[in-house]
Amino acid sequence: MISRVQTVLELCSLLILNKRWWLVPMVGILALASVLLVLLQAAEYVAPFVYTIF
Amino acid sequence: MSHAVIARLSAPLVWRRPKNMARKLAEFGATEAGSALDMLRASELCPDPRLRRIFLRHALDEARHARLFRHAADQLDPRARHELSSRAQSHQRLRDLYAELGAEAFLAFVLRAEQSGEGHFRALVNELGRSEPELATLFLAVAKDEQFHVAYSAHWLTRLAGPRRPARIRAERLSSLWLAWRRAGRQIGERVSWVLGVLLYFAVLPPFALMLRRLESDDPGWKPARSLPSSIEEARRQF
Amino acid sequence: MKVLGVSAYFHDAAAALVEGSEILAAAQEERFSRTKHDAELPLRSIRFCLEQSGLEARDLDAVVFYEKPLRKFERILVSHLRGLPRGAGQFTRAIGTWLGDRLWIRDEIAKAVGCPKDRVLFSEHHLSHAASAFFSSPFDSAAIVTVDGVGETATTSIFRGETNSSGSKIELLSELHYPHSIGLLYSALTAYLGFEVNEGEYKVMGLAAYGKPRFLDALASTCRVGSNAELEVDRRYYSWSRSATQSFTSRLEALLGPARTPGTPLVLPAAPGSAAERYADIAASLQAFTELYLLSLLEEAKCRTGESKLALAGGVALNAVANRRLIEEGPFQSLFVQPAAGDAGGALGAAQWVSHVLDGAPRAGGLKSALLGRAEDPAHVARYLDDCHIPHRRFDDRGALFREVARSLASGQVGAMSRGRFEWGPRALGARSILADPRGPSTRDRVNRKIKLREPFRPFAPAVLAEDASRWFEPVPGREDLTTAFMCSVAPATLEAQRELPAVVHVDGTARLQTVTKEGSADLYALLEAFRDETGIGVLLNTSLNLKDEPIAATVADAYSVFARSELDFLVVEDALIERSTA
Repeated sequence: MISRVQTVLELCSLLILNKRWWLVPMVGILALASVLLVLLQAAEYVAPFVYTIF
Repeated sequence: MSHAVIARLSAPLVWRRPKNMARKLAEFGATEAGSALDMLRASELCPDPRLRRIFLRHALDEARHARLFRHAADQLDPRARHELSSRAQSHQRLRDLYAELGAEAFLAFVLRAEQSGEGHFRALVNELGRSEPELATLFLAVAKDEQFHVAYSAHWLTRLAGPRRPARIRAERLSSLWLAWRRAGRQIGERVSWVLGVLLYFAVLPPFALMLRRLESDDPGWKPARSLPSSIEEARRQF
Repeated sequence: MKVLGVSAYFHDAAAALVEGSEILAAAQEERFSRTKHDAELPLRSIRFCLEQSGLEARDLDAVVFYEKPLRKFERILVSHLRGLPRGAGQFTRAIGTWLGDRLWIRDEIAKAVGCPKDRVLFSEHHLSHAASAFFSSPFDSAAIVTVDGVGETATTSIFRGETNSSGSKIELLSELHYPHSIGLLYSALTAYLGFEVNEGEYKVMGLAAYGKPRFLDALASTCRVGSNAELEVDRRYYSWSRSATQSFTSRLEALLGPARTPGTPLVLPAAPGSAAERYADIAASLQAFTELYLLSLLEEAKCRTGESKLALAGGVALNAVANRRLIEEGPFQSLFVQPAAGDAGGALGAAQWVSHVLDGAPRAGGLKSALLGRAEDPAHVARYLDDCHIPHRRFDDRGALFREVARSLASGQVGAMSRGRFEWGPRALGARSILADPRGPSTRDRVNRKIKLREPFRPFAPAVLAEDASRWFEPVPGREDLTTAFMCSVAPATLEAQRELPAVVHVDGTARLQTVTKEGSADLYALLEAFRDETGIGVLLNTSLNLKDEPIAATVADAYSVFARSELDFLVVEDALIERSTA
């Protein structure tokens, strides 16, 4: 998890370096989405019932 | 029994239109090609000379079936094989099952898979005997090979596992159910992540797209020289 | 320093292990996983590299991935923002795989190899290609040009490489960015011509020989080439930046006529006015366009670097027909192409870059042999054949085996040979090859239809003793061609070859030859000598040991499975000879 946060931070610093700092909020949203996806991957084990969450 | 029911129900959907038939045959081809790889690998890894020989024969049977199915698919619709979904194509991957499971569990797997395959193809022979005599002949030939595969894997499972045989078969049944469960979970996961992707695309991206168009031009042409990473430290960066 | 290079997640995953200037092992994942162009993280290749060199994961000083994942992700995001609202389908697919695993590649690699995360390094895509070409070449200083589909953002790059007493360096001089890519253009038209992308490009090259480039102007109108080799693809005709499944638009079909449906028969030579003729002409036009573009790119590279030698890599460098023209008409005196010029080669290049540039390892004269893969243990082979009751004869004396094989080939038999370590790169160079006498007029059709089941219009390649090469194939006067050892260019056949060796001469009078030296492949060299003793001709037809749509064989079981399913007359595996008549 720490390593993933590091990767997201690296991505943000890349954007800032390329003068695309305004894309950082989008990366934030994508990072949130990826947390959701991790949950979904875990859901492969707990169930086809995961869709009831949504 | 259930194979007959499925064959009866699916016949009007799958086995009446050439395009659907071709797709189904192409999928069969992919599955058989995948088992051929697993069996070939098993023949290399298995230490018992007699089993090795049977595994090799089994691998060549499966490879022949794959070729027959693909050929039949090409006859009906040459595009079918190119249009196979990535999921169907993943069936032709080597899964290294023998290395993963060991001889006994592998044999239990082969036994269950071949029983199921034989039942499936025999049901299709009954269903298609009259409407598609050529395909029925093909399925019958395949089913006969599967019958041999069932017989040898049952024989060898008894021989190797002895009193553990019922437990092996139970474990195999459970693991196949577990895999089906996970497959269903994954498919649903894929759907949900697709929905998530669409949501992101249409709800999150547009304002950023407007920004990008205002702030940056997209010129073709040579980009200026830039420095490359020159130390281990720089190489550690992911950008 | 021991460095493991890894490429994955696009196409052709591979791993390569380098220590100093020595390449200890290198293999493409597809050989092990038996899945053509396997792009998954190459776990099996990594394991092989470690086993081959007797190392454990903890012995590795660095593990280097062949590209910068975050730059690639940025490019994908930006290109979708630019393409909005067209591209939703591609975006949803891409975002799923990236957020799922690709973005976390550092963790995945550390886990797969079993090393600490801080040992994982990242090269750049085109830098990896460039390093693989330069450090595998014998050049001390050279221009390096890399051309492929797309890396992080670059599609075409010009570098300069130099090795002197203080070490080696590679400088990036300039690059073109996505979506302007000659590689993607070639792939889009490969798809248009009804072949599979990343696989069918060779077929387009073979098909081109049957056509005339009458669509050259039409193609040029879809892709502008500036005076200094700038390339601008017209997005009204091509859609690879917004669709994962459709790389050309209906406008291209309006311009060139309807695209070919995959899988439909293609009869060649084509009847005048037929669709097949049009497809062959489009292939010829695409090939001509690519060659002209590459020539102008080389002029630009010459101008920017002032070098006289060129190392070429990237998927486009596998275009053997274009490479010949670059040697003949291009501005450079010497040309070298790395045998795994495609993405698999990035694994090797990334490791070489770390070893030579970052760690300062001295160089040792370039790549001599592409036999860097896994070898089968002869004892294992013998046991396998015995256990499986496969009748065979064993030869303790290699000379006797090759004399027997040469005699069989000379009598018109078609056989296969699987010996030693398998090849690095997409070509069979004699370690896993199907071989035949190049003389018979019927050999070609026989190998084509009965054994390979591949498109009959595709040519077969000759393997020739290096010292005999100029008797059969025209060299380029005054130029140093370092591409033929790894089958990376074609050459016109001499009149004698056209007369004597019809099976390996393509319809346009050329052949994609492999010049064989003892250093490059001792076994194939010895076999060619035996064949020359038998027939007076040191040339064999050489094609890869696999059936259609399968990866090239790696193990004894793979090789036997091809033999059993084909009509090959014999198969050599290590020191065993299996014959059809007795098998």
